[in-house]
Amino acid sequence: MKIPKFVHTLGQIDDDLIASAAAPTVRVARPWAKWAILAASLGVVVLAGVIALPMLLGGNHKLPTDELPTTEALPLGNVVSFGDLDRHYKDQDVVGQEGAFAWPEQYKTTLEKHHYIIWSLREYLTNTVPVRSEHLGDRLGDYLGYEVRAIKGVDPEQAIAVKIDGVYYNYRRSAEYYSDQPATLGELFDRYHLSELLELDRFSVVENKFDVKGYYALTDDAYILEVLASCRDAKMIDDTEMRYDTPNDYLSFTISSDRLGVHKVVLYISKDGYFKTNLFAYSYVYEIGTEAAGKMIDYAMANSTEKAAEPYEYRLAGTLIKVEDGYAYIDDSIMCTDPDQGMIFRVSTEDLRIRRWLEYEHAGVDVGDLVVVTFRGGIAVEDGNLILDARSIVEAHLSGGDAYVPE
Amino acid sequence: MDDRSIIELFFARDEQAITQTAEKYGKLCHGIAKGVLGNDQDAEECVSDTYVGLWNAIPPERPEHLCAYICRITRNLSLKKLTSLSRAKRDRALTVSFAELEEILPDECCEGRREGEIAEHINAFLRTQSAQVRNVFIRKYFFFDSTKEIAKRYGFSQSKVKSMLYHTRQRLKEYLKKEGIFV
Repeated sequence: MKIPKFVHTLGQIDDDLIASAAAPTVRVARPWAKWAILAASLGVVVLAGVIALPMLLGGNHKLPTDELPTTEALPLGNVVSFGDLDRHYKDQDVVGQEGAFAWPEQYKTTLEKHHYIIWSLREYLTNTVPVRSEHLGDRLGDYLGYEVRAIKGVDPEQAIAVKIDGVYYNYRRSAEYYSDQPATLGELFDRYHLSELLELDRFSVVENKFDVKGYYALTDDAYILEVLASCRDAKMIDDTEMRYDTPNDYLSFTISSDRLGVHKVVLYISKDGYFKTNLFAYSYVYEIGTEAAGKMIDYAMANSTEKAAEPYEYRLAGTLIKVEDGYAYIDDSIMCTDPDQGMIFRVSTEDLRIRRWLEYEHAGVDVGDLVVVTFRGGIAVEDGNLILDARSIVEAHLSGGDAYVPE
Repeated sequence: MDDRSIIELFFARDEQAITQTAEKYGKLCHGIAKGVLGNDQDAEECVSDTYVGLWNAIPPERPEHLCAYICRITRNLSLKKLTSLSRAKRDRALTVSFAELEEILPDECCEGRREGEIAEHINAFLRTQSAQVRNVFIRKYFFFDSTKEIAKRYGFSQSKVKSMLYHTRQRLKEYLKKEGIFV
């Protein structure tokens, strides 16, 4: 078969365009299935609950009385939570383009320009996790004029805090510092001082690899850390064939730690006796045995309270209606089951991570576009619905249907 | 693992580099190779060759965009393998029709051009398109995704994807004509 030259020419598409097309797409959470099943199973009870709902939530939540659900059809819509703020959205998907952009130099944040640093002849990298002020230790010196501090309880050879744009960020030693991987769980704990730094709080119960049965918050992790300490000799499993990629039945702990420099990384304790984590950008698997695993799982289930799921990051979708006075304003009416209940949110354009999407001609975000804002800090309703710690604002579209693509 | 860390593993000649690459990009590369070659076995061989190619290239290469770098290697290897398999007269079920691409720019229009000249025009054209249209085009003609896969990825109907691709091909053809490439 003769391959046209043009096919080969298309192999020379610019890297940033390829990266953008390769980036995973973003979908806003779609909890409708859970609500539909709940409603169908509760029948009349839910009917009463639905009437009560507006009174419980307050604000502008209303259900038209001529649309009160019957036991057959329950158009509850989707309840999407942003921390303490719940929104009632239509059953539709919003697909945004994740920002795998190769930003020109003037649009890179200081942190992006200094993702890797060399300090004291050692290389460190950051996951952009800020270090809380109470965890900052002594001043160690400067990196190119940026203040460097120790992190309390952490060996500076392992991690340091560097002040960039007014925030101290955790910088960890690069991978090649360690010539070998910790052969036992004890060595892993010793290397990263996990006995002091690891905090186990939120977890989910998962069965059959991907079936999440519930989300919980542990009341006290001391016993679990004690059991892990007793597994010091657990041997590392060479997982190059990814056999332990996803266990069948396990607890999945979500770990965020400013001293370790991680945001929502996972730690599994599986029923078949394995401990697995990607805490340090490596997949560490240790065989702890079914007895130790069983003790930890039983303890966690008996000493926890059920909680709502917490996303890795929040995503809010809406129409970008204006950009003025240092803010971009997003109206989520298009998402609402009742558009009259739409709210206007604002995100600061002082942050370069937001401003560049609006300014850079190839980023493609304009007033009038449907957009998705990704953020970690919640929404300050009392401050004009200000979106906190926003990371990006990308163009999006509503999915599904045979919409004609205009010329 | 982030791309920089993976590259550092290559530089350290740590075989975890391949493991991490496979974990992060293996599926993507397999998709490209299978889109060209039509079956898992040939695709797997291509992906394995990609890893060998990477190991031999890095260092001294230090690609700025690892994803694009890897995808390009897989794509090129897949097309090369397709040519040799075709000579061996093995049937290929292709995801992409090369005929529709040849319509945009026949081989004779590529003759006598400076290397990279046509690619410059294609990149300039793609940057004038919306991100949505551009990504669909690149998924189809760089990554060799099927129409069904693209529809699923972006939540479109297949007819919408086909419509988008058709109109983009027509616009690209017009663009190349205006630039004097297509005569």
